Amino acid sequence: MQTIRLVKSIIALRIKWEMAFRINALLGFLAQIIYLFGSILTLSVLFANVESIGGWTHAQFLALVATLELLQQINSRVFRQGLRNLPALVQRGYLDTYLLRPCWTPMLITLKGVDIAGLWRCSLGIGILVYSMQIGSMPTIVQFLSYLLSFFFSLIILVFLNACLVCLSFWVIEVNNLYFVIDDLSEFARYPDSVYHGVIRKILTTILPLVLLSSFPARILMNELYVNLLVHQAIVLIFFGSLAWVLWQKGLQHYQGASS
Amino acid sequence: MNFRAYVGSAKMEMKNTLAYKANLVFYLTYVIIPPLAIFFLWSFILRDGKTIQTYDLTSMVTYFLITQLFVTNTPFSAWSEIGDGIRNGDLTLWLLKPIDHYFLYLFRLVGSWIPLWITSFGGVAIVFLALRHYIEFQSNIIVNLVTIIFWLGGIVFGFTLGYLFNLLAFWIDRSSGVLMLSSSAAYFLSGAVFPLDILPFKEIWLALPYKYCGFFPAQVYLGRVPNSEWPIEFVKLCSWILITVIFTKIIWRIGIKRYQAAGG
Repeated sequence: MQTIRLVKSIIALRIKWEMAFRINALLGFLAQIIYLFGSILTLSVLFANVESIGGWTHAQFLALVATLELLQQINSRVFRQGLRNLPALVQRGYLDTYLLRPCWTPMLITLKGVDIAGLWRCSLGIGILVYSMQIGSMPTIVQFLSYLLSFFFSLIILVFLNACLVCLSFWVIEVNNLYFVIDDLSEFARYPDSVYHGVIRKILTTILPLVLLSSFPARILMNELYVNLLVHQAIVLIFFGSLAWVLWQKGLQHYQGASS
Repeated sequence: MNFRAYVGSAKMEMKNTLAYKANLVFYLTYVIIPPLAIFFLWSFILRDGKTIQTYDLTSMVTYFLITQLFVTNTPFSAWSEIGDGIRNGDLTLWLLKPIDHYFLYLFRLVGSWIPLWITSFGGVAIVFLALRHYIEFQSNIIVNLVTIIFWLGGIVFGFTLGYLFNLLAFWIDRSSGVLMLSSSAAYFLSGAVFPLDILPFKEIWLALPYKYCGFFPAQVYLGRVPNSEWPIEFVKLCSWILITVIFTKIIWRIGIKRYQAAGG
């Protein structure tokens, strides 16, 4: 109960903060529109010259773009800001103030920067997703539910990946660009998994599972149901969840706070 | 103008950047990964000698490597500290000194970016070597030099535009939204997403100055711009920079009259 109250308080505070800078938020949204416009225009030009890319049609590619957009928006609005603060907390020794609170510390840190009011920016991704379904084939209810499950798996894998990376700050102090490595690697998720071959494909679906984040949900939505894709995602999720937990525990043993 | 003060501040910023060497290593991922991902896409689409308009696999891969290198290393947001300083009153610190605020930040920015540029060029050189079978190498030193000159001009233009948008902090609470908007537009209009000459309405995109930050230097490198056009394009670039700087100075003069800060 206490944890739920805590989460509610954090969300309420973030909404007030976001509303104080409405023009700024609106301009940020316009920036997002331009960015997506660029992606969609690029796809239009590409598909004016080719019929499909690695078996992916225009509609499927749009579903992939929308899925990645939604993943990034939800991740950056809900989890990103909080996780991003961890290196600074470790570096300055302020992590103590979180460890002393009577709640689960990783969740408190992760949700500290939650920005629920900013989730309206997902509307663009949802719009593109609906459009992709209109110009492609409409999914069945089972397919759509499987898509949601696959999307959820992708989101949690992304959060765990980020968590693993920021936990390195327990050992590597003063690395401001650490968090952006996942952003950079996400570039691989912009394109369908079928454009990658051999070892690179294996790496991008296992050790660095960036490709499965967007490609797998989009494939499930636009084609028939792939149970093996969901199983693959679940295995990757469990692996990175365990890794993040081990790194957090080991990191805490290594941590020296300001008050200790 | 006391250049020693500006050069001194540039050196200081350079030392500051070099102090965090691990950041330089991580910066490499920002420069290397996007073109690598794009390479996989294009090597798949343009395999077996296919082309899209005038671009085959080698010219497309070379175009993206060059453009991504230049665009990611162009400071379209200038320095967010400029807008923050106006909002929280830190600008007063600079107003008391006998220096030009625009040039001070230009030099500081160049100083802080030099280590990043060197790192980027080193990283991209490795990518060039790794993808050597898919690259059009430019052996003419003059062409390479002209490519760099146009890109440096693009940097000054990109910075000036970012500086201008930071000055909006004189009127609005936060200029970060404007900067995000302008950076997104600049990224697209400079040709980092797609070659501007194969986009619909290309006449519009090619008439804008953003092309000098990525697309145009890449075209020079690929040998697609005749030597006779270089001086005309250079004059155009300088004119755009001059117009933007003049506009910046006007905005600064109007904005500084509104500026309020508390304390000493």
